[in-house]
Amino acid sequence: MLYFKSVKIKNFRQLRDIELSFGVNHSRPLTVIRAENRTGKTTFLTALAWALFGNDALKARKAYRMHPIDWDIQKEGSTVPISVEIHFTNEDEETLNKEDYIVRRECIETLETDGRDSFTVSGQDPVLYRVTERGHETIPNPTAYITRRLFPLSLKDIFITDGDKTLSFIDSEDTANNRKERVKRAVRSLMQLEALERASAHVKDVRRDINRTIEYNSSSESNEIQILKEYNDNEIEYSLIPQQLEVQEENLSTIKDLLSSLEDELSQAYTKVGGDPQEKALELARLKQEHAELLRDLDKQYLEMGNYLKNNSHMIYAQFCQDDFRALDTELTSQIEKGVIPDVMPQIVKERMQVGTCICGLKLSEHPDVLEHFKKLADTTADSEQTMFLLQLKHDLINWTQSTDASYGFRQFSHSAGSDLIRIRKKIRITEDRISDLSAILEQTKDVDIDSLRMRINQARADEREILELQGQIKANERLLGARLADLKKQKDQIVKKVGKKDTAENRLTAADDILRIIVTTIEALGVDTLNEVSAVMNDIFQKINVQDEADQSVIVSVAISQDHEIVVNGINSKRLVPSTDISGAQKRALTLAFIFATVQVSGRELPNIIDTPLGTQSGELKRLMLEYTALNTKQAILFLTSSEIAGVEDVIRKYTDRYWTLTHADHYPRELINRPPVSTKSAYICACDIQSSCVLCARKGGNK
Amino acid sequence: MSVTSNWNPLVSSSTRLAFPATLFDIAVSFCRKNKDEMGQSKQVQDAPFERYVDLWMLALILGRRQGKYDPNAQLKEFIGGDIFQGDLARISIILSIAIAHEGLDTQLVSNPKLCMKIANGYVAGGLQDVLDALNSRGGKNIENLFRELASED
Repeated sequence: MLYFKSVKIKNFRQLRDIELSFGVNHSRPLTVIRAENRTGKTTFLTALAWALFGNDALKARKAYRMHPIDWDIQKEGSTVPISVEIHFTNEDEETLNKEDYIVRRECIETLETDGRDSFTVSGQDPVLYRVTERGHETIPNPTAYITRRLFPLSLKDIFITDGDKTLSFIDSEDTANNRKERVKRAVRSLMQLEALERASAHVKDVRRDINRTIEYNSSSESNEIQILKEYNDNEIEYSLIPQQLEVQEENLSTIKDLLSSLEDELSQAYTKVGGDPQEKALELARLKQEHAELLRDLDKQYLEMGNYLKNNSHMIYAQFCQDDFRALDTELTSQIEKGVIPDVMPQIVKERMQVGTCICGLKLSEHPDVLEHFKKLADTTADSEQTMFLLQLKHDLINWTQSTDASYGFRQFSHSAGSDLIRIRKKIRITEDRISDLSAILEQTKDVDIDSLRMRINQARADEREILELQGQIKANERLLGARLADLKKQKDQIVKKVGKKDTAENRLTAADDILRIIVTTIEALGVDTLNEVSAVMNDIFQKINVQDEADQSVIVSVAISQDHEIVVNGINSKRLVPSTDISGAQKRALTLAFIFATVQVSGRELPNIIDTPLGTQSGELKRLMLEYTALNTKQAILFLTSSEIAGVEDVIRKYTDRYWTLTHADHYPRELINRPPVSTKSAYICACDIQSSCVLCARKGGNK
Repeated sequence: MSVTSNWNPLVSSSTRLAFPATLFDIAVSFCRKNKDEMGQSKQVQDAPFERYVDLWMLALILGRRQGKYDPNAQLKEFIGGDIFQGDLARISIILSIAIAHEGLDTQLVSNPKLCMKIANGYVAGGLQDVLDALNSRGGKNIENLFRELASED
C-alpha cells in the first residue's frame, strides 16, 4: 500500500507556503483538514495531483495559472518558483518492506510585464527519490515509475476526489450519455487496460509493418508493389464475399419466411371463403348491385300496373262487362238501322256562327232571321253531338271488343304482369340468398386485410428478387475476383519467392492476428467483469451507508450499474427511480460515495483517499455512517471538511483521526476572521488546530464550529 | 265525323263523384294523391291508384260487373264531372253503364245528372269489392288487386 507522510507546497496559487504531515496510523486512518469554503481546498487537491501526474492533472494547462495571483513583480521579481513535494511510503503488503519516496515537481512561471497577466512556464518534470539509509537515490524515468508502479494516472480521479463534483456521476444537468461516459471512464480506469491497449495498438502497428514488409520488401519495383497492393486489396475484398453472401442468405431466408407466412395467411383466407376473397367481395358487390336493379325492376313493374289502372279502365270494363257491351252494341245497331239515330248536321253550323257569315257570304248580323235559323240548327247540333257520341261509342265498342283479346287486354296484361312479378321476385330471392351466403363467408375473413396482405406479399417478392439479384452480382464478383486473385497470387508468389520472405511474413501476420484477437477479447471480458463487480460492491456499500425513511416513496431497494454504464436505482415494487430527481440529496451523496468507494475497492489498490467535502450538508446519521465506512475501509484518508460537515460527527472524527489541521484564507479577514492574518490577503495558511479548537491564526467570528 | 275531344256532358252535371261515406277514408288511403301521415308520397305497390277517380272508375266497373247497385248509400263527394274533361273513354264507360242500367235507353246521354247518380250507385256497391281485392292476399296491394281481378270469370 501507499500512504502520504507529508507535503510541502510553495507558490501554488494561494498556497504560498504550506507544509504539513499526514496521519499514518492505520487504526486511526483519518487526517482531517478543517477548511471553510474558499480557503483553497480544491487547489490543495490539484497541487497534490500535479506533483504526481504533472500537467495531466490540470485542466487546460496553458491557461492554468499556478503562481499566486497577488505575486508582486516589483518586490518579488518576475520569475515565480513553484513546487510541490510529497513524501510518501510504499509498503509491500506481503513482505511488509517499506520504501520511502519523495516526489518533487517544480516549475518556473515567468511573468510578463506587458500588463496582460501573461506568463511562460518552464521545467515541470518531476524528480523522484528513494529515501534510503545511504541517502536519496534518484530514480530514472520518474513519470513512468510513478504512474506504472506507484500511483496509476487512471486512478487519479478515484482516489483524489471532490465530493460535490462526484455527484456528476448521477446528478448532472449534462446529458445521460455524458453521465454514462463518466461512469464508464471511472470503471475502465480500474481495469488497468493501458498495457493491453498499448499492446493492442502495438500489434496493429506490427501487423501493418508486416504487410508493408511483404509488400515493399518483396520488390522495389513499383509495378510489383502495385501487384502486391492489388493482391492485398483483392484478397480482403474476396475474403469479405462469403460474409456478404451469408448476410444475403440470411436476408433471403428472412424474406422467404415472411413470404411463406404471408402466403399462408392469404391461403387460409382463400380456404375460408372457398376462393379468392377479393373476387368474392367483388361478386358480393355485383350481386348487391343486381339486387338493387331487381328492386328497381319490381318498382317499375308496380308502376306499370298502376299506370294501367289509371289509363285503361275501358279495357277492364270491356273485359268484365261483356254483356253490357254486347247488348249496347246490338241496341245501337238497331237504332241506326231504324233511323232513330239520325244523320245530323255537321260541325259547320257552329263554325259559321263563330265566323258570323253564312257559307253563301251573307252576314248573319245583318240578317236576324238567318241568325235565328242558325241558332235552331245549333241546338239540333247539340243533339247531334249526343247522337255522334253514340255513333262514336258503337265504333269504340267494336275496337274494344277486338282489343280484349289482344295483349293489352286486362286479363292478358294482368297475367303478363303477374308472371313478371314472379320472375323478378324469384331472382330477388336467389340474389338475396347468394348475398347472404357470401356475406357470411366474407364475415370470416373480415379481420384479414387482403389488400394489405397482397401488398406485403408483393413487396416481399420484390425484396426477394432484389436479394437474388444482389446474390448474383456478388457471385459474379466472386468469380471475377477469384480469377483475378488467382492470377495475382501467381505473380505475388513469384515476387515473394524472389525475396524468400513469404512464409516468414505470413506466419508473422497470422501470429499478429491471433494476438490481436486475444487482446480484444480480453479487454471486452475484463470490461464486463469489472462493471459487474463494481455494481455489486456499490450496492453493498450503499446499503451500509444509506439512511432512508421507509415512509418515503423513494425507498431504495438496490442500486446497480447497467451494462451501458448507467447508475440505476431500484425502488419498492421494482419501481425504477431516476437518481437525479427521485431520490433525496443525502441519498445522492451516499450513492455517489458508494460508487467511488466501490471503484476504490475493486481497483485492489491501497492508495490514500483524498476527498474534498465528502459529507456535504447531509444529516448527522448519514454523515456518521459515511465517515465510519470511510474510516473502517481505508488505510489513509485525507479529508477536507467544513465546519458544517464536522458538526454532529465530532465523536466519530475524534475516534478515527490521527492528525488535524486547519486551513485558513487571509481573504476572510476581517469579515469572518477575528485576527489580522500573518500573510498577504490572497494567501492561505495552515495551523494545527483540531476540529474544535482555534488559535490566533484561525479564530473566526462566531466561533469555529 | 266524330265528337270533339272536349265533349263532356258530365261537366254540366250537378252530381259529383262520390264514395260511400263509411268507406271514404279507407278508400282514399289507397290513392297516391293522398299523402301518408308523414306527408310523404305513397308507393304504387301500396297505393295502386294515382287519383281518387281511378279507384272510383274501378269500383264502378266492379259494381256493374257484380250487379251491386246501392243508390241509397250515404255518399261523400270529392270532385265534379269536369274531371273527365278530355277523357272520352271514361265518359263512354260511365254513359254506357248508365244506358245499360236504364234498359239500353240511349236518350240517357242527354241526362248526365242521372248518369252520374247511377254511376255513384254502382261505385257504392262495388267499392267494397275493390277494397277486399286490395287486401285479399299476402302480397303487395297492387299485386293482390290484379290477381283478384284476373281470377274473376
